[in-house]
Amino acid sequence: MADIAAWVKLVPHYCEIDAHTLGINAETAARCINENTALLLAVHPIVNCCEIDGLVGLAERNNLPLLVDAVESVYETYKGKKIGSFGNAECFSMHASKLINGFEGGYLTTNDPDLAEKLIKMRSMGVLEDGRTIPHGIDATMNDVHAAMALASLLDLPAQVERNRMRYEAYKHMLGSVPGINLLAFDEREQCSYKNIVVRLSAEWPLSRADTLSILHSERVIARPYYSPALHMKRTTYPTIAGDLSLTESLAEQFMLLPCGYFVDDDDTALIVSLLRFIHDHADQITRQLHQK
Amino acid sequence: MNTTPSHPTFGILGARPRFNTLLVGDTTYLPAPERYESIFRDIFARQYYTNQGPLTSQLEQRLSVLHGMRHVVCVTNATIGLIMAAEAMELRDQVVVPALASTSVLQSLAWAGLEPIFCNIDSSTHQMNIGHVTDILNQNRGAISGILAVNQWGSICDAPALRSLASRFGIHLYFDSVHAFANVVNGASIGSLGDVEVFSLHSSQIMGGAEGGFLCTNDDALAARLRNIRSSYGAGTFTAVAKTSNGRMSEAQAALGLLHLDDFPQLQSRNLALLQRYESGLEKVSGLRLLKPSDTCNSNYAYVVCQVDESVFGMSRDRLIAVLKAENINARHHPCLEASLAYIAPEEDQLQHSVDVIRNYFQLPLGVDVSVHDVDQVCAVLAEARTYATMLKKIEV
Repeated sequence: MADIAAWVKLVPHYCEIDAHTLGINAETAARCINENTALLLAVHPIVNCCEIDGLVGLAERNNLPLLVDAVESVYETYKGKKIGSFGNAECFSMHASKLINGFEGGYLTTNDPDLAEKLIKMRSMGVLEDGRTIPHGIDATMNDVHAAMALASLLDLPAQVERNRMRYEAYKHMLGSVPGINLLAFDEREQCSYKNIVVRLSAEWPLSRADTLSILHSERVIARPYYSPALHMKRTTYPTIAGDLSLTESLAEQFMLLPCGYFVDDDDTALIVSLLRFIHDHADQITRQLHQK
Repeated sequence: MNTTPSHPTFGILGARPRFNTLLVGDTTYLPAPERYESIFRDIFARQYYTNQGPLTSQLEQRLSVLHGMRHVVCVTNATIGLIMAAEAMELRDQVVVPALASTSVLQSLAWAGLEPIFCNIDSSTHQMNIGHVTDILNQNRGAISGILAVNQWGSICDAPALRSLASRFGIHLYFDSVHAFANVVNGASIGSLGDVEVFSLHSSQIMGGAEGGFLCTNDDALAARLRNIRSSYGAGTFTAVAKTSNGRMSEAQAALGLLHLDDFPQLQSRNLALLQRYESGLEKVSGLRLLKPSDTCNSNYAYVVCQVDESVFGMSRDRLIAVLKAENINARHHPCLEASLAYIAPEEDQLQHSVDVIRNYFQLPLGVDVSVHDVDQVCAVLAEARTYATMLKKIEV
């Protein structure tokens, strides 16, 4: 994401997140706005949404465009309104790992006809009628084979969300009995995809996240640190601006994304949860043996 | 009762077109449905859709054997490939490109923050004029960091001369080989003409793969950089790069690429037969010159390009295209392939020769939807258009 800014010669200025949503909000973004600000680039977290209406207001007050990276929020609503309808434009992915699998690819949504027209031109190399090209035109057309796959996925969307909900319910039910592992709850007042299973390791959890992940990986459970390292910690050759992001840095150490999606059935979930319970119950012995190695 | 007209009828004069439906050429070739179905069933069974999957790896492997290259890096399309190449070589400031350059070439330079310096093309081949490249490099020493050569129309530019210039001036040389898939020079498939070569698998090319592309290089460090720029999947050895690009090829693209690769030899020989038919059919049409693949290379024969000499042929290129269009013959020139024209100012005297050449070429239909009989008909129309040029030139369109 920071690379995208660098490709268009902009400097990423990282802002702090909201501990409740794990996303940007109007207050954390406002602290970073100055005379050099060109754009607000908000990202929805992978469970629920950031407070997008506040960001829309902030963008309007500061006369700044607002672009939303909503790749994990295809199906979500915010206060009953569909994600995709906020800001100047929102960007979605059709990578195979996303809710709508189109092999690869993605799409943009906007209600601004002028912006839409410009994006359509840019997608096909930015060629104008007179043969000149507009800046940042690129070959970004979606091919028909990918589009066919995405259309098929779209047909399956309600059924897929229902399967995701069942998986989420299973995790919720089973993880309830594991101390120190708190499942991030979907806000069921909104429409949600129930896609990502994210847990927070609380103070009660006896192992570090790194140790927990390495045990899970050695049992071939592919859990991922969510998000680690935080983006601003990554070294870049292009300039970036990061102020005090201590909350982000601390939260970046506490979450894990557990296996989810089409490949995971109830038996897998039961096995993963029992493994976590086993780790919890034998934490002392496991830690000792791990660090003796 | 029918009366025989004193001259052939032309669609542009209101007669019925020679072809009932548009003779397109360039039509997207798709492999037989059962093969297509079978390879896609396997993808769905594996449920491995992208992220350097088994088919993408297999395609890279087969292409590296075909090209005799140490490294082939598959990408989502050739434009991204060109941007990645410029990024991987860390080019700066200016790059020499031919006066006949596509939007893809020019936008790739813009994304990489580079300025194009145009050089002339030879009128007989449409390839870069080496003398002019030499002059440019002599005059601009220092600001130019690379040459982006284009292998135009299924033929090859003078790569050895460009290589020696690049090494003399200590700059990079890379190739847009979008038109030159599987061309063979001195018995070897191209791919190693410069530091990197970029190929396209766009459906309009002879070798299709749902818009994919690939890069060839024999430079291990450059290959590692390209793979790390492409994305984290299939990156191999970690190499620090400035920016990544999300340039992955999907398994769907790789599947089509693999099927096309199987069929390429048939498509190539079919094209050659059609091209030879065009050659003999147009031999006696004065003022019209068919560009022939350079004799140093074995072409993919994917392009039929004609140069019009208006003073001899008797009408302009654009009028001739209109005459052919009215017969449902898809004669054309692509604004996208000559995007450079919009950037060459009239006061750039040195380049006006190339501008004239570019304004007087057109392409004729060639591809899976074109038969030998079609080619004969097209050649007949062209011969008649030449004979009646004076009349056709005058009519109002």
